[in-house]
Amino acid sequence: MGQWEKASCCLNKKIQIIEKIAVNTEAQCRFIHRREMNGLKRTLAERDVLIWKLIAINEELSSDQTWKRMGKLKSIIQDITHKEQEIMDRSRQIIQEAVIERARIAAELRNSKAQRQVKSQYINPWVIMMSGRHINRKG
Amino acid sequence: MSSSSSISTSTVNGTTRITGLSSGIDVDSIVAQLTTAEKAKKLNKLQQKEQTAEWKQTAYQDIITDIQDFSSKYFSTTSSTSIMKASNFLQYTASSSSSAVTVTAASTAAAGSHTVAVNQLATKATLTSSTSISKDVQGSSAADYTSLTGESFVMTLDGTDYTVDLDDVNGTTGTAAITALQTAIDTAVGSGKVTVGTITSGTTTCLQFTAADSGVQAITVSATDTNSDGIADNAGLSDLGFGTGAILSNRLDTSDTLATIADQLKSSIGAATFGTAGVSLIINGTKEEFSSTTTLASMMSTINKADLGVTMSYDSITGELKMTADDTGAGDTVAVTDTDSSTSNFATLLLTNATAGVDAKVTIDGQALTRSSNTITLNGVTYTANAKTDTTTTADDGTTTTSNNATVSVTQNTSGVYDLISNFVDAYNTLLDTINTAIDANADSDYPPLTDDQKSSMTDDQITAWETKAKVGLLESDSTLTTFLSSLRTAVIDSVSGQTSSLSDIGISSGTYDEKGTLEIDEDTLKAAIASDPESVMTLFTQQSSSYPNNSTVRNLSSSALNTRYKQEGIAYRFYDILQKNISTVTDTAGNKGSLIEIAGSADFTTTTDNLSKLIAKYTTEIDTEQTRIDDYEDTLYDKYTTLETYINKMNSQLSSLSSMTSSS
Repeated sequence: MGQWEKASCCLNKKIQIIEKIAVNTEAQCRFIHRREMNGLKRTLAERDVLIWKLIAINEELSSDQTWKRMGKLKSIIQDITHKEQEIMDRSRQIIQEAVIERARIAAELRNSKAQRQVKSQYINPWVIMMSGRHINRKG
Repeated sequence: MSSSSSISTSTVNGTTRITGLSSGIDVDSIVAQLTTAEKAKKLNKLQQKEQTAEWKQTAYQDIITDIQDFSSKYFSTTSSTSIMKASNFLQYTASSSSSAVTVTAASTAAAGSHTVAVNQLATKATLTSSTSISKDVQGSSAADYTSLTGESFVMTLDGTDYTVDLDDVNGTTGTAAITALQTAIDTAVGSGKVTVGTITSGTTTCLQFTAADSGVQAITVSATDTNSDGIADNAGLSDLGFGTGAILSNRLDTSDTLATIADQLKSSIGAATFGTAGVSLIINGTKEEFSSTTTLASMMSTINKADLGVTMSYDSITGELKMTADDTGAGDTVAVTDTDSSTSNFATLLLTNATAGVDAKVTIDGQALTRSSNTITLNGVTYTANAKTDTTTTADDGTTTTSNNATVSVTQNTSGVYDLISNFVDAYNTLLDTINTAIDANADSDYPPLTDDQKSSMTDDQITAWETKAKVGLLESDSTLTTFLSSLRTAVIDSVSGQTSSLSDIGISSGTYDEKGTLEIDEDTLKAAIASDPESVMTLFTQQSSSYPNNSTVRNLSSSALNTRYKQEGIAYRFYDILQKNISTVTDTAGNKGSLIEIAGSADFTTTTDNLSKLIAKYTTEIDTEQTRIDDYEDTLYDKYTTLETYINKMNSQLSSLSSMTSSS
């Protein structure tokens, strides 16, 4: 196999991996919004594997970087660069969404506590509102 | 969006929890969209429903209590104010012309006049010692008159204390000493009351104080409390020979043992053997035994509690011991002997004077009666003889007339019957007002029960004011209570089978429509009706069903039987049936208690089977379930938050990896 074929093969694999990471990224987004932590855990693990594969491809490509000067590969390299940037942007966005979702959960907790008039037992364990107090002769 | 850096996690007992949620997160815009408020609303709604159900139950139970009180007072066979008892409608007042005879009249009496002569009162048989059984006050050693300056002693005559000053007795001897002491005592207590004498015991001559006047009975001497510190410390009494072994009172102390009592008996009574052997008596055929260490008080208490037909007593004024029959009348009703007088001679020595009881001899309307009791009931009139009826009256011209008759008048007590009916009508009207107020009150939906959250921002007065409004109208238009009232109103109006007169005929009528069934009494008409025909008035209320007269089985009757019973009954019995239908705790043929009890139970009848108790229990369960669900929901949120925190870190590290790759590629 010539250098061009070898590089082309590697870059195509890289594109496939990047596309899988993109799909994985969107799956993460869905799981975050659905608060499905098992799904998120699985996609993060899958993403780990994909990142290792990407590292391996990158190492293979970095052993001989003459392919970078091959005109035939210019469009595919640009495509990769574009997709990588998209993934980076999308990943940052999804992390922000995860932070927002985490804040939402915190807000829901705070709201639920406030509604029930219960203070955190770790802040003041003595002040716990007695619910269901009744004012009648039965006591 | 601010960072959440101020939110921290902590792990307690293996459970990670978030604290600091109340700060550091700007989520106001998010909170409005959250569903948790709705979830909390559900819990609050359930708690409000439960509170409303409890208030409603209390409102019902308050009315049930009022109805029960009304029922107990006017529809109980044991109540003196029952309008179901025929006897309460036939009341008579009896009076006597002489205090020698007192009288009462029952419902079975008849109006009229009676002559009564009490020729002899019934008395109780007694067995007594006839005189005081104890020794006089006497010293135990010779008196020493040499150092009596400034000394004194206390002499108590029939409960009154006197201090006897011994200054003038000091230094005297022989008969002069006796005279000086007599003068000192006369000065203290008055002359002619107590005699100072001597008594020789063996070779010792001791002082003795005896009653000089028949009106003086109990004499007691004691040492003076010189410095008023509560301790009798003056030596005057002991100097006079009243030390250890002296007899300080001429009356027995019932807290002393029989052994002590035996030593304190008058020598004229004879030697007592029960001081060592104890007492063994046959009292009206029953043996009673007491050891010599038993106190006289304990012995008397035992005998008096043993239902032997006698009462034993010691008279601390006269000093007499007495056995008295419990009942009046002739006959040997007090038979007390020593079991073996050679061993123990208590009765032989001390119960020597027997007086038989006698029967009462009374003449009523010419009929001579001999009875064991002074209380005699004849034709519904109870006569109590208090004294013989021999009376002497002096006319203006000086002539005297002796009469041994008392005149007893029995008259119909119209006012008593009127009061009975009037009080019932007042109570009925009060009950109607209470229930009408409850069912006419309009509920205000703007005042639901407060949540704990709402209460936390209100003062106690505000909470009370709010809840007062929230409790209004809980029984608005209640169908059971409406039916109950309607039944009572109908019962008052419906004619009574076989009776020509109705309530309105005897002056009791319903008020105007606005007065919602309350009754009004025309006092003159009602009193006239009672006076002219008390039996008709009585029957109007107390007529019983001929087909189903038994009240105790009313809950077992079918509806048709109840209907028949109703038609045959007087007003009181109709009311009884209606009350039972609503507040009886006895189940009927369908297995139901009274309608109101089925709905709400009763404050004094613990039940969990009434509808409201079941509803409250259902709400309680739902509240518990909802609270558990919210707990689980919160736990899930905690878990998700913590997990997401971890995964965000992971995502960040993955992003760093990707970022380093893209920058290097």
